[in-house]
Amino acid sequence: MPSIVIELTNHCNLSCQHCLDGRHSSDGGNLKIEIVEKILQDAKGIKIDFLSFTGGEPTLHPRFTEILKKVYEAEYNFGFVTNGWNFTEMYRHLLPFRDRLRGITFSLDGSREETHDRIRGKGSYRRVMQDVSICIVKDIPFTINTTVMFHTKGKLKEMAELATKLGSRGLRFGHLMPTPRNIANGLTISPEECVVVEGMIGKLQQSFTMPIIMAPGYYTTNLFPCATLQMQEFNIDWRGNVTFCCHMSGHGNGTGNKDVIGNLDEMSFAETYKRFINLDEKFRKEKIERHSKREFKDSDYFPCWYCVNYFKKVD
Amino acid sequence: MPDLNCRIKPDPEVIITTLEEDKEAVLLHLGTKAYFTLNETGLRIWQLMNSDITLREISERLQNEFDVSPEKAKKSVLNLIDELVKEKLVRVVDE
Repeated sequence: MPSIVIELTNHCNLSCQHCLDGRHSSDGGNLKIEIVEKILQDAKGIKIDFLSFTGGEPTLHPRFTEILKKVYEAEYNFGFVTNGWNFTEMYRHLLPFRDRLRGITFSLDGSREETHDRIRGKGSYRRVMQDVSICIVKDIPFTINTTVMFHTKGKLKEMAELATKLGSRGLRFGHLMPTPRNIANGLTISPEECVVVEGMIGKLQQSFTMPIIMAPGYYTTNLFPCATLQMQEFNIDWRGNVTFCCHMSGHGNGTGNKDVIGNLDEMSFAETYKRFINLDEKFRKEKIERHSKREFKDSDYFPCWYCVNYFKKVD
Repeated sequence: MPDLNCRIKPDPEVIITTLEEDKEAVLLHLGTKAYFTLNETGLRIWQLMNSDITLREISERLQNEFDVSPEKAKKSVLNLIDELVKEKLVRVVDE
């Protein structure tokens, strides 16, 4: 079943080293609740039954609980990604809607406290540990998202062992986007190292019973590997823009908006869906053409990098 | 095995998370990644452990606060501490 990833807010309470530049600027904001209602009204019509909330930090949306209630009453399943900082306070609000909560994903950027805290700020590792403790006691399913960076590339197995011991239902590794800031901070690894890391993750997938996946963006000769390109996932940013590019939607303070399909303040979700189909056809045609003309660079085989360049999301 | 004259301290690698308006808690040892849940009485024992008092004094405080017999209070304290020691969640400070 297709799903929608909804950026509820671009506000965040942390200031992570690897966060996308300008993402959480002071002129940011929260998704209007009227737009959420619009999505809930239309999405079932295209057989969507799962909504995933992201941000920013989605739990910071001032009407987060009200949104969950509406999602629950409209009979959608849901999940969200969180840095976990305020979960020990807000988890109570989730409990009434738990039977439609498919899982919470905690961001954990290191198997060790000092590694994670270096990236996300002091105290954030212990917060996540408290959060997963609550999930275990309250039987709330959770998974862990981790970004592979220069200083974590050698500790992938350690991360898988940690996730297993904590009782996580899954572990998702993702590549770090090579933004100028991430490169300057020495966080990124080279495309060659990415391929090596992907091989290591492949081995972990075989040796652990817990599901381990690699987030879209890994090296592949499949031209349309991710859920968005397979029309299985739609992305909506906090401005109400339905976007084609999932990883960097909302990036750049309005620059490079070629990926914006339409705004839900101005049109229905059903209308943006039609536009999505048209853009997808154009994108597919051009990508196939470029590939067949042997115009691909090595980096074009990392689908996120291809999209970032295609939609001019970075300078 | 600790007796009532012991003082106990939480292991520094243990984090505690309270739930349900402080009537329940869960411990997580960051080294072993072992979870351990505490009920209301267990949570109170854990809190009193940080007051640098003996298990006998903890037991006496429980008798008053939860209106239980001295024997029951002693048994509750010693049984819990025994489990916590086995799980390496606490350390015996002195005996």
